[in-house]
Amino acid sequence: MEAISKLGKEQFVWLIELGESFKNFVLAIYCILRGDFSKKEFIEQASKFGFDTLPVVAVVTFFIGLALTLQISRQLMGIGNTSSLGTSVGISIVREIGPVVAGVMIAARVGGAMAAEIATMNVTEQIDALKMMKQDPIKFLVAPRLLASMIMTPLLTVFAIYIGSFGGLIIAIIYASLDPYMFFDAFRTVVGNKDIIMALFKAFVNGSIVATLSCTYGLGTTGGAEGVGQTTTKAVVGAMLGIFLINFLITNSVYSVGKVLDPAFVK
Amino acid sequence: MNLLIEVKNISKSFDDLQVLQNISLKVSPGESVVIVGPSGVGKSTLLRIIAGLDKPDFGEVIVKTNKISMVFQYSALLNSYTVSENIELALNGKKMTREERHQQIYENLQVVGLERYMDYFPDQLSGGQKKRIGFARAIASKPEIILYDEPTSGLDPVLSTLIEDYINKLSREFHVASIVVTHQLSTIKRTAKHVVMLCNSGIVWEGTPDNFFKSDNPYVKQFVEATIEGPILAGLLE
Repeated sequence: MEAISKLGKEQFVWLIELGESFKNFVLAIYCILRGDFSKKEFIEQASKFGFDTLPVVAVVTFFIGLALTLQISRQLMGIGNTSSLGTSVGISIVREIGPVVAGVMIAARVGGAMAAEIATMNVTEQIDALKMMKQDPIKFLVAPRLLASMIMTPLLTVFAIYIGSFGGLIIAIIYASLDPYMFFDAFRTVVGNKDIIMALFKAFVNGSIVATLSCTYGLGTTGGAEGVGQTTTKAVVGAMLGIFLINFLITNSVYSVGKVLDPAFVK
Repeated sequence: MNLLIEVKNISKSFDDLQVLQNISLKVSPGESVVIVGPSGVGKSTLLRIIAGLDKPDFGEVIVKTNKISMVFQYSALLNSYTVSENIELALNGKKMTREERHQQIYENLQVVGLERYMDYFPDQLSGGQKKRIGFARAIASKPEIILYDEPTSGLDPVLSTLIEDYINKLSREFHVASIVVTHQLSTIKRTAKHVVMLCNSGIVWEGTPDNFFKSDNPYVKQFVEATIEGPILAGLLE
């Protein structure tokens, strides 16, 4: 009976963690709005985001741009319609690939490191030391990381879109023998301000998910080195799941609302 | 009697393991209480409850000051911060100019003889130096109570004596009360005014350090003589 009760409790641990994450997010946002957070930590975290993630985001989105354009161009060449290659690549990269890939890379690279750092601080009593010095871990650790993530993820997403599009352009020129002007002309006809805003919004949400989950899992770590490892895995997996889920929900909501407000948008 | 800390009948368990049961303790200003006992009897848990880092299941802890700081077993210095930045964190909320802050950090480091290491990172320091920086950080906020979790563990006898002298100096000159968790006999001898021995979830003995070393209490006797036969090991094995 005890084992069943324990198993039952374990099934709902994620609900408690979700509630804790939401609480930390709200408290951190409150600190950010009041400007009551560690500026030093914010600058450090923001620069870590750039240096750690920029190269990996560049490499991954470049190759995804190449592979995606290759696949699409093969299909379009089959029906003799390579002129719309820019359209397909543009929509895919700006609306989905850019925000999702940047988000996933940030979750893996920065989110994992963030969770491991805070978890290590927790198991080595550094967080307790902060509390003893009347330093609130939310102000000191969570708020600066959340703000850095909310600012840097959209910037990295814009960068991912550029690099992915560049990869697509290379394949369009080499493989599909398309004129670069035609590629970008088609690109521009479908990608508008709304798409950019949607991509940035997705990136903003992705950044919030990564920082909030990483910090929450880190702060709840127990059990020494093993606990740190488990926290890192949990934070990365949780953030990735969150990114894919929220990405779908945002896309779906935009299309649902878009249908009503602006039928041209969903075309 | 003027008390700084009053621990009233606290109990604490982790899952099915009862760690502390009906523990009561009183600490006056400037008093140095040493909590001893074998490993795993809940000494650090008691200290964390007094510090407010953990909550007891039952009972209450009354701390009549908010000027309380703690020296952690493994120093707990923030690795991405320099020595001076680590100490500066303890000055949080104090209205001081930049120069005043710098001066105070310098003076705190002078107390532990490490003023040359202001711009070093914790990773560049030895274990003993980290402990001393942890000590400098603890005194930076000018506390009325300092809680020490195994302040001399892992240190050589000379450094241990140095740390013990710091504890005595603070108690004598600045009237800072201290609660020291240790299982080192030298620390009891040099720093304690009152000794409390924990075992089997409760207090098995308390009194002055002189009486501690002369006691016939089987727990104390076994602990002091470091013998295998006796109630301590039997209790731990149970």
